[in-house]
Amino acid sequence: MSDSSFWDKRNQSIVNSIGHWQGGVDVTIEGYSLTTELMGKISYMQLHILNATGKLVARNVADWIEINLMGLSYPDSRIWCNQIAAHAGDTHSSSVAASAAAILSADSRAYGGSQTTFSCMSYLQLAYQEFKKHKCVETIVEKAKYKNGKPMIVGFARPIDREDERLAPYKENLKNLQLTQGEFLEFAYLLSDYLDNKFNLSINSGGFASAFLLDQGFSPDDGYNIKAFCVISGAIASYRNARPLPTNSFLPMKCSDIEYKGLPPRKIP
Amino acid sequence: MNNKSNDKRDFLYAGKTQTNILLEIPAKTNPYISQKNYIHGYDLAELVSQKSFVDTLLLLFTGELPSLADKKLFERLMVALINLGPRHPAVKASMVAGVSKTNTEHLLPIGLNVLGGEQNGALEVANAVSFIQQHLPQNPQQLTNNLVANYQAEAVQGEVHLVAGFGNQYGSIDELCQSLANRVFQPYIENNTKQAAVLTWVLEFCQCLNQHNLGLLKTGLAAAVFCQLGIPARESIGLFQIICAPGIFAHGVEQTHKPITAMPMLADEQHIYSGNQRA
Repeated sequence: MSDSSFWDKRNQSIVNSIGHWQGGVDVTIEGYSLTTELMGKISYMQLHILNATGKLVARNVADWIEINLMGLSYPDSRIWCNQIAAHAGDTHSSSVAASAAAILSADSRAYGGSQTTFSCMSYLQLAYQEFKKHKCVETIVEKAKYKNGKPMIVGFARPIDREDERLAPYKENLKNLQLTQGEFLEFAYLLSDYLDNKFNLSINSGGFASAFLLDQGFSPDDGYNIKAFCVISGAIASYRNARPLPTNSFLPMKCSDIEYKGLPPRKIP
Repeated sequence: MNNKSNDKRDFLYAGKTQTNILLEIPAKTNPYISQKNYIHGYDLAELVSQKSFVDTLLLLFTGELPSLADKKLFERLMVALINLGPRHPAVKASMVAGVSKTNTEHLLPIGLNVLGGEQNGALEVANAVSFIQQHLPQNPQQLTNNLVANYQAEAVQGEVHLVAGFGNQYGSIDELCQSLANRVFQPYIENNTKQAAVLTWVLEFCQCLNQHNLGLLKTGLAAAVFCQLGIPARESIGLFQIICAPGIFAHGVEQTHKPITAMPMLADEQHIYSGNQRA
């Protein structure tokens, strides 16, 4: 008989190290009482960060992250995740289905803010370790993956446009919220200056926010979790725009709008 | 070399979406209406009349209609994995959604999301495809010895997946899976001995693993067939989800017809909080 004790212990029970709901009494989150210590005393973003990371951060840190999330979801239906939400509007799927589909679609190594935050934070962590060992930025960048002669570093190239309109408000609100630039942000700008000079690449929203999160003591996994749903707002807006329109009216395509590159018609053998 | 340029855009986007899979011939009266469709060059109308769903499914992903032996192999795999059972996390997820009155159209996506994972899910299948492709030339016994020697079993609590697709389930060899694998593989091996190198290797590897209370997992079973048929790792992710989809939805929708109380809700004392206690 195999030893099944590991599973027997869990057969009819759940062990949860994060929280617990006592119906009709209270909810515990990381040791805090939801009803007496958190509700009305902290912001929703602070609560979300607590659930996502186990850390109850100061209000100004949560407020800056909230500003960052405002920069991650625009009501523009061209953006991939929003386009998907709009397609859901076109088929009259529910807004929840549209949101879920958009969030899933933004779980991407190329854009989106969730997985890209994980990738960028992981890179910056390693690169900064090297930098502290007195390696120069040029040597550090040489080790990155390259495509078409340019280093591929998430957070330091924006797929649509080079100028990132979010950086100015990010910096301004750091000051407004009395937050200072930490060592990771300083390093990120050093990296950006080098990349800009050599490759015409520079820090974008993801690079800035990832460095900020590292400065606040968050791990790459924390970053992924905090931003898991970060594209939801613009996705719902794009859904709302498409939902009232007649069927098949969002970005309709002619047959010829798809370029067929495959085999010509042939007979079944 | 300085790669700096004055281009504002870093990427050049295509003017049109491209595909190798489907050709749509527009109707003469309306460019938005398709009159005739071709999948990898074959007239869809002719496929409907002459070919099975499995033929057409493999055509979609490989670009060619399968041989009879390949088709039968894939069909046997589809039957073997049609229902992972109500204890598999993906099926359970769909059932929990079903009983809690989630919109029915969400049941399958919910289950497939859960089935996407790296453990007992579609990403494990993809990793197993890569593992088999990389290790196929190696002697299975030697490979097993190396893997087991380098594995720190004491560091792992619970299920052991020695490598993607191979390990134990709840601490034991997945006997049902290995029995199903024999049913899925054997007719192919018997009739295509020379071409069945992947399946033969996987069975030998499993026999070696069995000596260590490890063996083939369902993800490995799928991966073996995908490798045998030349289906790449990335394509294997969705194909595994497609194959397992019927069971996920069947169990999920079954629960929608029942009251919300038809599945257990653990009592407070069965949900044990082990986290911080603050004064």
